[in-house]
Parts: sequence; C-alpha cells; structure tokens
Amino acid sequence: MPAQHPRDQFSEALLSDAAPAEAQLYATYADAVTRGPEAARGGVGLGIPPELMGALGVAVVVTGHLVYDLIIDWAKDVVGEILKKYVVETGVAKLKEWLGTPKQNDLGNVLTADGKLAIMSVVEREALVAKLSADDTKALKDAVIKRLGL
Amino acid sequence: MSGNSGKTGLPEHSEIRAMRAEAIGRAALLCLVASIIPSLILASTWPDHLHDLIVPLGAPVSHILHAVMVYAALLGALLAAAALRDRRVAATGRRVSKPVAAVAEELGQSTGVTTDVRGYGGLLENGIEAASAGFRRIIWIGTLRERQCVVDPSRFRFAFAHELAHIASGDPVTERIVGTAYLTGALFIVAGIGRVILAVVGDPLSLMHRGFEAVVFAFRAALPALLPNLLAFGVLSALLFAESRSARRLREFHADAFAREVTGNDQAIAVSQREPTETTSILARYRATHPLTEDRAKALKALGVAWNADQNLFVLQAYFAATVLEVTFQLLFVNLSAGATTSAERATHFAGQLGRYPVTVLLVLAVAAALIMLAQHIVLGRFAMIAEDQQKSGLNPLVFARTAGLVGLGAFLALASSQSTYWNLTLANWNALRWVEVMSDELILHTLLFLASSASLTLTLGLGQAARIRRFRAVLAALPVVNLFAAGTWLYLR
Repeated sequence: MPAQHPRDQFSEALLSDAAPAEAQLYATYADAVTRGPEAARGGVGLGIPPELMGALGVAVVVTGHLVYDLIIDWAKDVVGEILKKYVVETGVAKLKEWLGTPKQNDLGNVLTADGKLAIMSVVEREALVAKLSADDTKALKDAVIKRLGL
Repeated sequence: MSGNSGKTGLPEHSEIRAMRAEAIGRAALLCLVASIIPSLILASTWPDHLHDLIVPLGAPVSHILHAVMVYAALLGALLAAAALRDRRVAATGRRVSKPVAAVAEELGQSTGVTTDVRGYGGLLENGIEAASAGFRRIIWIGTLRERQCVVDPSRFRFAFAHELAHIASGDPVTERIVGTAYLTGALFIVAGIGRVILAVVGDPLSLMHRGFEAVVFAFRAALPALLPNLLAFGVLSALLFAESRSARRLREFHADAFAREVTGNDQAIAVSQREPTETTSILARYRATHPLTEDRAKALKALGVAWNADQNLFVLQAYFAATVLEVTFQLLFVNLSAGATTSAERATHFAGQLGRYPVTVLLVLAVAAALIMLAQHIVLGRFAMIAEDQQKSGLNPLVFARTAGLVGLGAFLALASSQSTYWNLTLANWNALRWVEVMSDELILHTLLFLASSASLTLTLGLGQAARIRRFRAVLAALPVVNLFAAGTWLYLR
C-alpha cells in the first residue's frame, strides 16, 4: 500500500481534530478535491439536496491542502526573500522536516508573525467561502493552531 | 454488491403496489403511443420510400409495417448507444466510505434489493441517483450526500431507501426506454413535418434562384395547409412530454412511500430542503421531474396526497384515447377510403374495405381497442385510489365532476387539434352545423367514448373497494370499447 502523501497526513489529522465525526470520509473528500463538477449520471435522483449548515469536513480538507501547499511554496523560495518574511532564520530545517512528516512535528517557533498571519488568513477565507458557522470556524482555527503548534 | 431484484423482501402496503402498477401501465402506454402514432405519421408521409422496403405486402400494410421496423431499428440503435455511454460512466467513480457502505449493506439486506454503490463528483456534489449500466444497477452518491450519512443519518437512510425503490421498480431502465422511445418518435414526427413542408411548399432550394422573397411567399401561401399539421404534431409532442413527466413524478411518490415504509421516517422531507430553483408556476410544475417538495412532505404522512397531486393524468389519458380514435378514423376513412366525405359514403367504403382487406381493418381496430382499454384501465386505477381516499373523509360528488370534466377536456383537445377536424371544417366552409351533419358518425363515436368513460368512472365509485379487483377493473375498462364497437357496427355495417 503506497505511503500517504504528507499533505494528506496533515489534512487528515486536521479533519480528525476539527470534525471527528467526518474523519471516516477523508478519502472521499480527498478524491473530490481533484474532481470538478461532473455530468449527471443519467439516473433517477432524489431531487432534494441534503440540508447543509456549512460542510465543515469539506472545508477542513480544502484548508489543509491549501495551507500545506502554501508552506511548500515558501520552502521552494530559492532566493530566500519570501522565506525570510514568513520563517524565522533558525526554523528552515524544522520547516522542511515538518513538510516530510507533518503528523509527527509542528511549526512551533518556526514561523514569523507574518507567517502565522498568512496561514490564518487562508483559514478564515476558506471558512467564509464554505459558509461555516461561528462554532465550526472556531473548530477549524483551533485544529490548525493545534496541528501547527502556533 | 451486484445484481437486483424486481421484488423486495418487505410486505408492501397495497397502495405502494398500486402506484407501481400504475407506473408500469403508464410507461407501457407512453411507449406504445410514442411508437405507433409516429410510425403511422411516417408511413403516411413517406409511403413511396417505405413501400415494400423489405417485405412485399402491398399498401397500406407495407408502409405501416416498414415504418414500425424502421422505428424498432432506430430505437434499438439509440438504446445501444445509451448503454455504451452508461458502461463508460459506470467505470468511473470511487469507492464509498465505510459508513455509507454499512447503510447500503443493511438496507440492501432488509429490503432484498442489492446494488453496486459508487461515489462521484467534486466537493459540492450533493446528488444521489439510481442508474443502470447494462445489467448493472448502481446507486451513485455525491460527496456531500456521503457527508449526510454521518451528520444526518436518518435523512440519508431515507434518501438511500428512496433510490433502492427506483432500483427495485426498474425505474432507471424504464426512464431510458421511455425517453428513447419519445426521442425516436420525435425524430419521426420531424421527418413527417419535413415531408409535408416539401410536399406543400415544394423544394425551397429550387425557389432560391427567384430570390428569398419567393421562398417566403411560398411558405406564406402554404401556411393554411401546414398549420393543422404543425398544430396536431405539436400538441401530440407536448402531451407525450407532459405525460412522461407526470408518470415520472408518480414514480417519485412511489419511491418516497417505499422509503417511508422501509425507514419508518415520515419527517425525512421538509419544505426547507427544496431546491432553490423550485417554483410553483404551472409551466414549471408540468415540466418538473419531481413533485413539489411540500406535496412530497405531506404525502409521507398521507398517501392520498400523492393520488390527488397530478390530475392532468385524466386529461392526458382521455386525449390519448380520443387521438387513437381519430387516427383510426384517419386510417379507415382517409387512407383506405379516399374521397369519402359523408357518413353514408364512409359506411359504404368501410363495408367494402372490410371485405377486401379484412386483416388490415381488423388489425387496426384491435390495436386501437387495446390502446383505448389500456388508457381507460390506468385512469380507473387512479380514480379508484382517489375515490377510496375521499371516502375516508366523506364522498364528495365534486371529485367525480372534476374528473369527468378533465376527461372531457382531454377529449376536446384531441378533437380540436386534429387535422381531420380542420379539413372537414374547411370543406364545410366553417359552417359548424354543416360540419356536425357531415361528421355526425364520428362525433357520435367521440361522444360515446366520453360518456362510456364517465360511466365506468361512476361505476368505479359505486363498486368501492371492489373496483380495485383486477377483473372488475378490466370489465370497466372494456366498457368504452364495447360501446364503440356496438355503435360502429350500427353506423357502418347495418
């Protein structure tokens, strides 16, 4: 069985923290992220959408992917200007270690204030897009803060 | 999981069985009308191309038979293409999550209906659909619908049971066949209209050398001949479409009733769940594939709501029966007896045609009788359920009056949109009394059809529960046909 990609490790861990009831759906959400809208299956449907109060689990997976990809972009900054802004000077090695095994590490004392702000901006934006309730938004933020050690 | 069963392991409520029986009857009638009438249209508009195409039988049987063969071939080709597409789609999708698989397993075992279950769609996909792909039966579950399994399990179980009902009834296959039959019929009608335009207007391209104005002039001059055809074909197409949607809405009520029986949940549908695009405008309701959400919510608690929801069934079935009668007149008195314009002439010609082409004439009469009986059988089944529901709250004569009125409306629409009516009125110089005098025999038969249909509805009321017994219903359904044969014999063979 292929090893799980670090991005998926991070997002699945976030999902377990923020929406434990939906943890079993991680594989579904991860697959859905890569798919756009699909054509109708040509079948006979129910005709009534499920009542939604903001799909927390979906928002968590999307946020996890975006945050991980954002940090990867910082790590790829060869010139170093971006890295200097978001990552403390002594934290680069720990950052790269986190990117490899996000479940076993965190980013405590790695990110600058700008770095933390950039990540939480992504989280707040995705919570708005997903129309999460205040409680769900807090659950998402708390999960990110906990997993990243912010 | 694979395979499906047409029967379930549940002791079903008799009303659910009645809904399924009506759905099957309506699908059969729709397929028959969507195939026979367009085939007749093609046979009458393209006779030279169809004459003895494969089997040398001579006119008019050759035209009709070969039109039916072309219809069957085209239908088969379209169904095969659809099946290939379905197979390609069936190969996509993803494995569903464990909670969903557990619900599918549990409900599959309790109902005796097993299917494949596949996930599909992006993050915002909220669909759940029962589909067929060859011999496979699949329930497709969208991303957010899988989420519903975890955050709102009782509603998810209802939704899944609803789709199992569609699988158990073969609804995906029925939809495929009915839709393809309708498409094939529509193509035939377009071919018929095209031929009429060519015949009446002449080849528009050959007029182009005289300028575009010449083409416009030719079309304008041909309008009096074209309009009746366009009206007749247009009304038929619209009513076939309306009936296919109406029958589909009934299947949704049936699936809801089945799901309620399986899950015991009569709160599963709430008005707050309606699609944002759902409107209550009349046009939207006729086009809708699902009943209004509020009707569905009420029907979960009182099945009588489902029986009363779609009253246009009575208009449509009466229209079909009257149209079948009109097409029968067309075949017997126009195609076979060209030039017969009065009752006496039609009687003389008919007796002669019966002697010369007994097989053709009797075949036409037998098919027409079967179609009229089937339409009447369906209407009686529905009316019996409405009457039974009404009897619980005290019988209201207005129920019968409303139904009879809708039946009359359907019959009137058939007559008013008939090409023959237009032509005969033209021949009578639009003198209504003269028209009635000349067409008295056909009008008598149309009136008898309506009166006998209404009489069988009245007897249904009188018989009460017994009206739901098959042999009684079959006898009542035969009443209009028996009357038509008796009157026809007196009018044309005395």
